[in-house]
Amino acid sequence: MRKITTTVLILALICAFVPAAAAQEIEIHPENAQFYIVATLPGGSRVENSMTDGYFSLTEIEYITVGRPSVVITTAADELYIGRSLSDLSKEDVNLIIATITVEMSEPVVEVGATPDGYEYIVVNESTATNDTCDTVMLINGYFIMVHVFYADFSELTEADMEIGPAIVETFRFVSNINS
Amino acid sequence: MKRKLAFILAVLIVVCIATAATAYTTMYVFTSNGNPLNMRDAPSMLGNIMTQIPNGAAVLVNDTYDETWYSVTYNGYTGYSMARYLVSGAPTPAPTWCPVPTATPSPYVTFPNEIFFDFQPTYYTALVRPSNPAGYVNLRWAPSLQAEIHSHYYANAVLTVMSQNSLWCQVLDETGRIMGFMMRQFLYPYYGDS
Repeated sequence: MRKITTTVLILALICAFVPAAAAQEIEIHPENAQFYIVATLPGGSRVENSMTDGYFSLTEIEYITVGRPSVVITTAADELYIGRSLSDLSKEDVNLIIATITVEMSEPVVEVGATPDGYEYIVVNESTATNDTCDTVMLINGYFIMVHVFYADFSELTEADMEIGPAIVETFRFVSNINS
Repeated sequence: MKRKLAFILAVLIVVCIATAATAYTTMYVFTSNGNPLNMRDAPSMLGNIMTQIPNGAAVLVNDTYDETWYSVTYNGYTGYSMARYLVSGAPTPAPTWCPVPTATPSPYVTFPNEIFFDFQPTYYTALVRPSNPAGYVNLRWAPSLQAEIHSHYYANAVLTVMSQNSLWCQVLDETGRIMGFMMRQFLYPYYGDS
């Protein structure tokens, strides 16, 4: 009887924590876009806040456990790149975008990657003695999407922290929004 | 005689009102990639494109529809263009890069007093305009790229500029009661309701 009770209690505790740790899918709707984004959040995180302001949208993600970085996903249309994605651009245009993203960074490290579906993204990391942030940026059909990872005090990000942005981006599914 | 004077005065008043009602400001298109800027028939990305305004061209700004869109007139067309690509002065080539600060092995960064020189007191409301529309701008404790970041501000955040030099502004976030320094190129005077 004690063994059964103990087993039931353990199972109950597991069931209580598994939903919190399971990955969560969210939708991000860029303003006036003909698509929306379905993203999978990292395990143990949840949406803390979301807002839209004219042409700009923001989704704040926080981890349930303490001591993890903040994640902010923003989207905004850009008149200069209507209907264009990062993979459509010339190398010069990509370099220009990198220059605008890193304009405030003194020692940026830049990498270009691609999701399993072939959507390109740029990862920019600045790690200095005083500040550490990591941004993952996409351009999809004229909309910039940025995943910004940082600690509230901008303290040093770990290697695992810097993988958060690319990991989220690689779960992105872009769904046509016919009714927008 | 009195009737004539009254008539002239009435005409003058009407002319003044009409002029005030159509007050224009000249601004210039500045796009980072040199592409032209769209003018749309509605203040939205869903608005139809009426015409394109070349980079560097002067436009008449009729009104600020909101923080994102201005009503503009160019080459006989009147429509809406994105405010982030309109600047007050004739655009000059963007600086290639700021000098890279010298590295210091100490985790504690010290700043020469010179970085605080040449700040002129001023007072105006400004909108934050990151270089990337989905991006952010840093608020720092000192006017240097090596200074610690205090917080981020996203597009269309409203700040009060208290003083400025050619590169930096000292700003006040009246909502959060935070004061710090932000690069001047990311702050645009706000002409709308404050």
